[in-house]
Amino acid sequence: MSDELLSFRSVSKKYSLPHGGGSLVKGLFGLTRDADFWALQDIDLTIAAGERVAIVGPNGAGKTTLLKIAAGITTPSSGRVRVTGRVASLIHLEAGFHPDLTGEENILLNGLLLGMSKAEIVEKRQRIIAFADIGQFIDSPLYTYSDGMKFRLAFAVAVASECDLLLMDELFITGDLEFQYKTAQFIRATQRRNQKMASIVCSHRPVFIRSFATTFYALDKGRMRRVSPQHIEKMITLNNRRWRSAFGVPA
Amino acid sequence: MEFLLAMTYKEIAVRYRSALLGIVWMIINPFFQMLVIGFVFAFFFGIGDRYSYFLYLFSGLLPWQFFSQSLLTATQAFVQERQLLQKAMFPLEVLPLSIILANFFHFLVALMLFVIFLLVTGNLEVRNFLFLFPACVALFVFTFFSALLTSTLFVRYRDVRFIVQALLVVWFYATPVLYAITVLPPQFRFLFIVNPLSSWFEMFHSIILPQYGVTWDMLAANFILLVFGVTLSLWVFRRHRFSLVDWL
Repeated sequence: MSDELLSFRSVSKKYSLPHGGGSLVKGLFGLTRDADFWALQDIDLTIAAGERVAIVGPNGAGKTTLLKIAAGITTPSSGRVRVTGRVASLIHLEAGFHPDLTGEENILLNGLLLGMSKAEIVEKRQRIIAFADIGQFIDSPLYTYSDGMKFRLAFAVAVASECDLLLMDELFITGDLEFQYKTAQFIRATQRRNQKMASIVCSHRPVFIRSFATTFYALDKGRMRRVSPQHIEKMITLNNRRWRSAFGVPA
Repeated sequence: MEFLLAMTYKEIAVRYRSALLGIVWMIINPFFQMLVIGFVFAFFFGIGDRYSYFLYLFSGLLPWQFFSQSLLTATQAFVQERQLLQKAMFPLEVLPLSIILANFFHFLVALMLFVIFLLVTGNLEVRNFLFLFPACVALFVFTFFSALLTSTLFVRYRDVRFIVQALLVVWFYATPVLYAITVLPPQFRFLFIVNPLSSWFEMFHSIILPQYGVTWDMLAANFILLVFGVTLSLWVFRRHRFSLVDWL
């Protein structure tokens, strides 16, 4: 397929966890041993240009690992990954930012990390600032920002990079309802405006991702399967019911 | 390349962001250290001519300051900048390199001021002035590859920082910073030969001295160790490059 942006072929990822602490002295004397942990097992996934994918799964299912591999941040232990086109990631709110730099300086740093040239960033600067819409904070260091501002700035740079694939991970968990509402609107508006931009959104809550995607996957303990939109709807209803019962709230 | 420059600029900008005097600190810090140590050695130990010992000390402390500061801060490069590593893949060596470039810039500014001072006061040994260039290059290369090794190891072994700290204390006295090679009894001279820094420090000293302690055997041994260090560092870095992010 010519418009295939990303393909995973039986991708697995193993993490080695140090037991006995990370100590060179101990390591040299053979006092540490590594325990293996499989974060992803046998993942197959293809994403075409403009396709919207969502992955839902509990904490520790491997969602972030999958995104990190797609972003090229980490490499799979086995399997094949092919990426064509520019990928931008929004995995942590503060990833690619430096707390002591101002918003404007961070735009440069972040843009360079996403593969833009300095000339390109300077040219798009005004547009990024307008899009992020964080007012006078653009001249203040990042540590003065609220999570909402960090998100908008990161998002503005990612969109300005004209990426073919945008990766988003659990962007809502830090915020309150108001933050989640605004962020959701922001993402939907951007998706409408950039029809050719494909995206992967991950969350542990199905309700967060329902409106951002047309293709859905469920990931659990490193294994992934495709699910229908109806399945996501059912999960939302089920989750709401479980939530209420867990906290003893009558329906 | 643009990324490296931006990161180096960031290093310098962040460091002086909240400091009013900015660039002045760059000069004040080594100056005070020289003053204190010079005071101690000149008065309490009474080594030779005070004035020239000050100069001797400064010509050694300046590069030592660069080396030790760079190694200490750059060791933590990957761990401190983990935010950047969570965003996208880029040539990892940029992180320690940008720290060292920022320090190198400081060092060159201070060195230039020192040379100008020597020139004005007539203490510059013009004949040996050219030694500064190979000395600076070798020191930079050695510092970078040492830092690449320690920063790579530090990601996995967090006690590397303490090892580096301890090592620097010993290293300081095993390098001709405070005293010339000739001061040592001959049976300890091998220390300077196996220390990959000694030739370059003797070269730094030579800009104020008519004679210098660099000998061919020392230079050859230092150079071989330098090449060995670079190889070791590259080997360790290449082996761990792709798994580094998973340990952060």
